[in-house]
Amino acid sequence: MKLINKITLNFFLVSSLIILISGVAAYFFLRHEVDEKVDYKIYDEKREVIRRFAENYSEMTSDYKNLSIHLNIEKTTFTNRYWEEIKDTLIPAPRKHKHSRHKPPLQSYRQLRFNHTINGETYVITLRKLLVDSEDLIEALERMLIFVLSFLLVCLGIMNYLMSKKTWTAFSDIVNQVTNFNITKGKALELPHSDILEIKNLNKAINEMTEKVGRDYSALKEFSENASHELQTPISVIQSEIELMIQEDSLDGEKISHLQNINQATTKLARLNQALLLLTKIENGQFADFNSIQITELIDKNLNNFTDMAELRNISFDKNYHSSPVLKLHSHLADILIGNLLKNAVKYCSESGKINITVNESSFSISNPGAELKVPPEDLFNRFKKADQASKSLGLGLSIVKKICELYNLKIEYLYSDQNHTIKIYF
Amino acid sequence: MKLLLIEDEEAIAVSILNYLKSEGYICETVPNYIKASEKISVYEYDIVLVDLTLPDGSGLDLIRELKMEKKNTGIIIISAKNSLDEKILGLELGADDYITKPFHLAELNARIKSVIRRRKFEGNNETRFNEIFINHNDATVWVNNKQLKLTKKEYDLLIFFISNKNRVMTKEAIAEHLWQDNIDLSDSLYFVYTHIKNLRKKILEKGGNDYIKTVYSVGYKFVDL
Repeated sequence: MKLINKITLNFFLVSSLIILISGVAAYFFLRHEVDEKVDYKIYDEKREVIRRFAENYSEMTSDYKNLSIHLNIEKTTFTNRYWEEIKDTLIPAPRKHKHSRHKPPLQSYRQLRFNHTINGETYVITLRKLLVDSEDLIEALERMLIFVLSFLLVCLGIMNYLMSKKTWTAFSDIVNQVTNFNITKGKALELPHSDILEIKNLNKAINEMTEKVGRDYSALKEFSENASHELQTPISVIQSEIELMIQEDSLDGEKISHLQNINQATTKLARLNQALLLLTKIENGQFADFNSIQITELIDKNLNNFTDMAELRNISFDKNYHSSPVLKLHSHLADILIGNLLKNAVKYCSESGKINITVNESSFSISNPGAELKVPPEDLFNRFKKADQASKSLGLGLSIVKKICELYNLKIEYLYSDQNHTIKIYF
Repeated sequence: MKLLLIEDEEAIAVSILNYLKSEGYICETVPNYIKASEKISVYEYDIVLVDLTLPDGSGLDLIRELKMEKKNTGIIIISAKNSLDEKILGLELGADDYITKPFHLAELNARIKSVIRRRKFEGNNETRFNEIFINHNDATVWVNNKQLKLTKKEYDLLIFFISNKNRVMTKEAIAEHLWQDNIDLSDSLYFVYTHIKNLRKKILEKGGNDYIKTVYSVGYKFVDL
């Protein structure tokens, strides 16, 4: 759920609850106020009635006919102890037409009953006031109140939503930028300007963080490249010294085999270092310029390096050039790309197998027969993942291929079917 | 044959110097740009080996200096960078070859020999080794005046051997000379062995001597009998 929707929903829920409570409270408050007024009036009348009784009680009934308060006086013989009672009561409305068939609706009254003793005679006096007017008033007020509050609620809700949305656009903009941030591209973030303190703080924090990450990243890249460079010299020295040593005639078999072990390890180290250096250079964007390269020519040129190796293992090449696409690549990287793929195909091709090279308008694929991979195919392009961990190869060839493909936004995929390994590159 | 090695890493300079001296070259070494500039303006060298990254300047400027003075000196760039652009630039400036660190001394030696050959025998580039005669211009090899039919790799291998005769060459140096890094080291033994076997067989067929000696576990040696 979006934060803005959550906030708006919460706003509506809480506001509705507040309106409900205040509506109910307002109702009871009004009710109480109105009742108080009515009661006040009835008690007022009561005093008036008692006053009149004292003057002349026989005239009472006729006098009160015009008042809004009904008066009923009955003589009683029961008690002379004083009592009074005030309550709401329902009484059928007087019929407008005498022989109406409808049952008359009940009307709500406020009624005060009390006994009054005068001149030794006790009367029960009932004062009754119709409540219709005040009920209507409360209802009208209540309706208006609800309408005004609801209108206010909706307006506030919409306003809140729109304003929040405006505020949050900056936020979602930032989130977008951060999501699409790519450290390898080395491009700084362009965060939206905002006068909101929180957004400003967020921008500042993100900027500081990405700058730091960027600095660390380039420092690391620089370090890897420098480290590889620095390693070249000692490796050169070791290699040269071994070459000088093995020239000596006095060496016996055991010493020579020690030297040979050192030599092999050093050669491997040298290659490993060069492969890593190449990877760092690609990552550091040091192969920016490009040439137009015809893929089929590139393949034929590189194939020459492998023909003798292939012949020795009775491997043949089956070239299917349906088209001769031209790609814009750095020529050195192009050679490495094709060279590594060919090397890989020849190396893992089964004896007397046939390596199939197909070039189409939009893809290049190379496949060789061979036993199924022992590692998951998704690991194939990862650094130091080898088909056979015990193998003496470096395990960097295909990750270099992948890196080059990434550099030029070429899609690369690996397939295995019918005992055939296929690596396909789409351009 | 006079050589100047411009290399700031002393350890590398010493081992290159040792190797080249034992090849019979008169070899000097300087560690920086200023000294190198001094030397090349005063003395004549047949070959200058120049490291491009010197502490006080670029080796490329030294190549420019050499070319300005129109000296007929062979130039081989030694670089730690393996950068194609740098290589192209160096060759355009007039360098004869470009070799990337780390390299095998046998490889460097073969490159030097090749440069000397090209410069010395302009248009008439030939090598004779006892009964073996090599014409570098059309890449033909003759043994006892009978032509050998060699593959490209076998031809390269023979030249490499003759350039480094009487020296032990590791299988790794041979493999990298023939295939650069297009071959896995684990496979190289077999491939090198097969090529040497074929080359030896072809020379013997034409009545040549067997000069290629196997050095136990390490590699091979082309011995002048």
